[in-house]
Amino acid sequence: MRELKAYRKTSHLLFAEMVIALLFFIISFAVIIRIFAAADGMERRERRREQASLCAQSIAEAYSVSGNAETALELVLGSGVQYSGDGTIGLDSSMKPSGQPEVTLSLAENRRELSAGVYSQLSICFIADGEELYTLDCGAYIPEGGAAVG
Amino acid sequence: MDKKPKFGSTVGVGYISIMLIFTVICLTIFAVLSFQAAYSDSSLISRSESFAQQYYTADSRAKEILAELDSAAYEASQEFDFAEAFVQSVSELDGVNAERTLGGVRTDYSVEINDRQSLAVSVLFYSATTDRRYDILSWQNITNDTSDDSHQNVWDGGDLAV
Repeated sequence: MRELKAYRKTSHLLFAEMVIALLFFIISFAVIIRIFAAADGMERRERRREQASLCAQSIAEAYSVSGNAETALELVLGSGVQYSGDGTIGLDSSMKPSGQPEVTLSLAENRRELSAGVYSQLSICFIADGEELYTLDCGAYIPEGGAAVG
Repeated sequence: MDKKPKFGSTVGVGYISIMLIFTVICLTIFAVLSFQAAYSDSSLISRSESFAQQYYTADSRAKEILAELDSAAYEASQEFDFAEAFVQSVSELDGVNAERTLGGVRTDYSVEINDRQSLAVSVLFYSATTDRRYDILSWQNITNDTSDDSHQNVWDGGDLAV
């Protein structure tokens, strides 16, 4: 009889411990999952930013040689780049032209005619989820005689 | 003869708690490490992006100066003495040095990228009319001259004090 009582007491203690442990685990797991999710979200965002940065630098390099925004875009994104109604270009997460864009690329060009050539500036802006992802301003000088790439 | 107790549990009280605490600690460590890795990647990418923006801003400014110099060279080429007229025009531009060389005028200027680096450009403008008016001799990143603070206190090869 005494042994039975001791067993019941142990069982109750074990059950109580399991319940408390389960609650503790659930709470801890929720917090840990949030940390994992935050890390994953940050990494995805940064990877997209890095892709945008590399794409912008490629466009800037192509632009500095050609002095023409459309030529630079063709050199980087390939021919047949389609502009949307507002003059922007839709890109996927790997910065390739896409019909279902995740990132929007917009370009603003400012040209200045000089007596010996044309100096132009290009502002490259990547927008994702309504927020500015990356911007880069670059310039090109093409002396009279035309672009080196065309 | 000793008999084993009839009632009892194979899992003792406290064992579950210890295992759970160990599991939670391990998961927490992995979560914090993954977050830290993502955060350090993020700051590295931010620094890289910031430098790229600074570099292309400086590069753009350097090209703008080159455009101004080329325009000055173009206008100077209409004058009787190209070198004289060009050096005169260049002297009006801030931060641009012009030096007469054999066959033309060499101009040097630099544009600051950030506190530590600059973009140094050297261009040779030809006095004789050829296919092109200029040649870019150098277009390179240089480290700004730092003060003597960077001097390391190392043994200069002199005698050892005994």
